[in-house]
Amino acid sequence: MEQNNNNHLAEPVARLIDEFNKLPGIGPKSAQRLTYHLVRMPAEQAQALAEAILSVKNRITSCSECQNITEHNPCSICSDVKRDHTRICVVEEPLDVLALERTHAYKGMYHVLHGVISPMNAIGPDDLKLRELVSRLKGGVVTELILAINPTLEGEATATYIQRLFAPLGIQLSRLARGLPAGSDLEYADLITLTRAIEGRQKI
Amino acid sequence: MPQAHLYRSEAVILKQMSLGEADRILTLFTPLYGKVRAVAKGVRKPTSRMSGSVEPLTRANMLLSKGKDLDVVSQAEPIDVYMAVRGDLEKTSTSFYMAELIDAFTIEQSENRSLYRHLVNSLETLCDLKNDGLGNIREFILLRASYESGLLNMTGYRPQIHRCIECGLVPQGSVSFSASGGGLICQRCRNKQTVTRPLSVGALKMLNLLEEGGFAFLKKQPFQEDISLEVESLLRQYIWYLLERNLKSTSFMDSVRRGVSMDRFEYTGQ
Repeated sequence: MEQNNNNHLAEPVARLIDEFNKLPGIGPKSAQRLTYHLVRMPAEQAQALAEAILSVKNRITSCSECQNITEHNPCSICSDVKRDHTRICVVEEPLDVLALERTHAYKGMYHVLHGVISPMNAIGPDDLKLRELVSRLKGGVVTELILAINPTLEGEATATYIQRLFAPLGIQLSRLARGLPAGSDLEYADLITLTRAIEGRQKI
Repeated sequence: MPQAHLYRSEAVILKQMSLGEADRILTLFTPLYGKVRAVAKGVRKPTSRMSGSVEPLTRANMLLSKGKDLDVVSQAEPIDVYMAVRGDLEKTSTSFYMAELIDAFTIEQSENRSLYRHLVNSLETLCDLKNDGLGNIREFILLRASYESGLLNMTGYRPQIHRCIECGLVPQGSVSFSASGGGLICQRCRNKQTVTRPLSVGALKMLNLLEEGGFAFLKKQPFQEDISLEVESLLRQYIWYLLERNLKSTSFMDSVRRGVSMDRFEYTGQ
């Protein structure tokens, strides 16, 4: 149907609209707007965008150690000798590494699972980067594993699974504390968070 | 702008899916409106007041507004978050299975109060089960069987286990179960159905007891383990036949049951 409407469009324009339309969260209208914005854009800016898209596909690989997305293998974190190689922080997605790095509070290694166990979406333990984590831990260097997985039902199932998986190794396992977000209001806190916050209260 | 149509309902959140920047699409199960798909806005931000109330497998009082395609969650107040399920692999995997069954067997806008009650009761029983790691598999199997049996009953798929589905007579001697026919089949009629499986006397008795009472009643009955395993596999085959697909949550449930071990993650030379 959309194709018919695009009949009177120049072929390159129609093609770009089509390509934008395939991206998540972009419908036909946004695709058209983005395309016409690009048509009016200076050539060098469009060139830079095209090159950026290509280099993302051509120059990016996944780090053989932490499975994070990187340009050089091993990635800058894994190859940094100043960081603590005895600790691994397990996260769901590459963006979680960025969020934790922004805190400057952690100087160890990472491991990106690229997902969580989600039976409702047919994602099981075999679909995560657990095999790589097993071989890293078997190296014997790592003494602590920090599970920084989202505190959702799926995340908790994944964390419990990992905990049970590595219990025989006898390394120190910990999870991020759960509590109240900064600047929030106690009366609006939900049951799960409040329960965990009381359980994990700290001595002052 | 027309007034948004608001309605109130209790609901159990069956599953969720991320949408856009910070929203989630929830699949809710409600007593009056059956399955409802609704958007919860902004709940992926840590400061969202609603995020803890719209987690999967939470029972909550909700205020929803009717949307053109999807409804929108406007407020949510949790009633029960089934804390004992969270962080327990056996319970979590069973609860995923319970939710997926409801999702598969129900449709939107179809009232089913008894099924809602059944789900809530079963989740509460699941919370109370003692899980000592390995020793208590029996109760998990019985709870799942009574959940499946109740659900089949309430959605109109109760198997016929008193008479032969072909000749209508009370079967004498050995019997089989036919998933395609939806019930018992006597020895004489067996070749009229293509897919049948032999049914032991003990398993038939257990199927009868499943119809009679819930989990509390079942728990007191002295079942042999092989009988409950037979019934488990029979019900699973029957459900598979009805849905014409495997449930996704069963593979995780089975892998937890087989035990979590590093061996399966070893590199095998490749």
